[in-house]
Amino acid sequence: MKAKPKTRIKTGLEKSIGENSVFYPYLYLLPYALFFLIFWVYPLFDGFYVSLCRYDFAETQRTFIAFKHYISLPFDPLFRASFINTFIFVLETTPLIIGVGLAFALLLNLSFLKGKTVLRVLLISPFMLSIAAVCMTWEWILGSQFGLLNYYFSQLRLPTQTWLLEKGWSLFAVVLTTLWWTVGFNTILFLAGLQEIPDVLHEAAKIDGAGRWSNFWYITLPCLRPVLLFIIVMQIIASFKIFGQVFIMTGGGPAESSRVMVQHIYETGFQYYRMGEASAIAWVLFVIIMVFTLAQFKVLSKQTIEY
Amino acid sequence: MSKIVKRVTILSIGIALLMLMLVGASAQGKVTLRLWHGLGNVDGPYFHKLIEEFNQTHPEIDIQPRTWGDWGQFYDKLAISIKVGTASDIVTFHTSNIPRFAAIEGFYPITQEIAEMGLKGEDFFEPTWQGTFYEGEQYAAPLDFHPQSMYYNVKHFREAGLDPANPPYTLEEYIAAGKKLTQDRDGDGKTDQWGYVFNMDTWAVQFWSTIPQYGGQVIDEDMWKCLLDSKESIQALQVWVDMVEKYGISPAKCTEDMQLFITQRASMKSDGTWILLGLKEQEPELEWDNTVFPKFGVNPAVWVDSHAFGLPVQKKRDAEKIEASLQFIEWMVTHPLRWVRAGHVPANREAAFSEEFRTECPHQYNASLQYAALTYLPRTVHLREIWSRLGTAFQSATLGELTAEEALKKATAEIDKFLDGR
Repeated sequence: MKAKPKTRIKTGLEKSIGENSVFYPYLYLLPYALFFLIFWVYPLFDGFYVSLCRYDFAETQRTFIAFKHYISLPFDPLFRASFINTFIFVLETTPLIIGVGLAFALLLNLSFLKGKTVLRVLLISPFMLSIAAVCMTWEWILGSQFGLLNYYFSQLRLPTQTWLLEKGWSLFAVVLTTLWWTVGFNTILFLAGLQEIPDVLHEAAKIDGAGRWSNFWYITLPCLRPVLLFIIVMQIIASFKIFGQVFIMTGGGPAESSRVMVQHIYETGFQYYRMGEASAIAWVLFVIIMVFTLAQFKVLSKQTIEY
Repeated sequence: MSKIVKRVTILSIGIALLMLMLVGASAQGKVTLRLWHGLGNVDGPYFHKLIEEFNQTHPEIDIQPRTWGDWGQFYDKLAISIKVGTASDIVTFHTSNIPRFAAIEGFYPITQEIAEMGLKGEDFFEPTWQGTFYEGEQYAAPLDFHPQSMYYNVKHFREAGLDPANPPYTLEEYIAAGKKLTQDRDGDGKTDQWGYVFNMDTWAVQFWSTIPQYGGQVIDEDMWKCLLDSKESIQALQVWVDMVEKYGISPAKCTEDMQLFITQRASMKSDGTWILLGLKEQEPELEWDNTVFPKFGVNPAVWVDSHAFGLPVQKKRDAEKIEASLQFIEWMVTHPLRWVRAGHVPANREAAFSEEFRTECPHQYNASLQYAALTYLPRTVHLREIWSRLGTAFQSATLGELTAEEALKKATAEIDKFLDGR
């Protein structure tokens, strides 16, 4: 005769958070959730409260001044300059880095192309460098008197340029550096997206008489929509957050012509110790990024692609 | 047998306890101090060698230096670290920053401790000593001062028929010399050798120097009103614009002044004394000398700052560490000639006037001769922001985007904005 398996009486706690409980999966999330709440959510809202206060390093108390910082921001010429420059940077970098990244990915996806591995390594390797190394290298390349680029320009009898000391050029120099540094990452993402598209779609289109352009426009690009959405969103967020390149290469100059919002936040908070004002600028940037991201999701994720 | 085991066990435990006590005693006896600074790759390694020497001669103290490589980042890091109680035990910093850090209660006042070291005001250059005080308290021990100095290419001087032993001093002399030294050597219509080169970066120390030369002021005595839009300050800025546009002796849009001087494509340049060791490394190809900063205006004046030692406020005041830190500070400050070989002038008058300094550090000695013209930065908590706005004005004017008057009026309006009501 078989012995009856022992049945244990479940305690109240086991019932509520035991394996069969609805709360059980959330127990696994708890450590991260705590981390997220303490180090992300709390600082975010505390930062918002600080933005409503006058809070300098020298002061131990936060003095509540409501939206005074937000109201005075448009009247601050440095904020205006950094706001405009950030938008210019976003407008210049986003299409450029995405377009060039896509072009390289299409090139690397060509079946007859040889040396693809070497090309991929060459494209992705700048992305592995630290920002300081990238910027210092490009500072030397773009130097006005001793720069590599100007050296070759003068050898070719072309007019030399003071890239980092000319209004207009300095921000564009930062755009070029960013393109060189990050385009490989987008290329790899696009390449992964291109390789996911079934060949049968291109073949069917070809049979129907579609040319290369039609194939790209009606097959490749729509199929890349999820990857494209991801890249555009990430690229725009990264561009709005531009800081290191400007801080190292131009310091925001000449004459504030390349000053950007994150640099303005950093200097206001950590150099001039006006934490309240810095938090207000940070929140303005946060809202701008949020609006742009939501708009992109709305516009670009309307249609889903089914193969 | 069991007796032997028992004895061996007791002996082993005894030895182990003794060793533990010895190890504990040595660990307790050695004070480890963290020292942060922002000295660069010329005077920084020299400073570390001195620390090594101190560590060897003071086995009870172990100073662990760390450079942030850049003064800007050093100050940003220091302020945050003080706020969260993780700053180093000692810092080497510039006395011009004392008001900013005193305002956030960043340094321990050490008035009494410095007096106990036997350091007295009359032993130091007056503005250098005064620079270590803020609102009646002393926050640092002065180590040196490092003014701007004028560096010139001796070979170029000889080739242009100028006397290297008698370098220019006034504006007229500079323009005359600069015109002789500015040359198109290969006849292609482009200047290959510039008479005088200055850096257009936002760090416009040369402009700071000329403001008091023309009788101008950056800010009023109460640190409440910016005075940069005065006709004296405008005149002081205009002289730098004219170097490029009117006299044509300086290259436009230049930040590579040091490279131009080292590669002998510029004959004269102004810079701090910290570049001395770097220039020495270029000998004998580069034949150079230095002299006092020019007097373009009516009064002699030169920008200067001082390195000093301070004790950042910690989470918990550690008397033992403070005592050890003061021992190091005393060792450095009371033997100033050790340090000034790195390219500085001793803050101590006796050392600066000594025969040893004159003969062993001739270039530092040349720079020290302007001790009566030393002009420290305004003692305001807003120094960094004022510096930034002034630098932008300097850039805008020297790049030709704004006139000197427009640039300084703009800067004044911006500076007044954050001075008001604070």
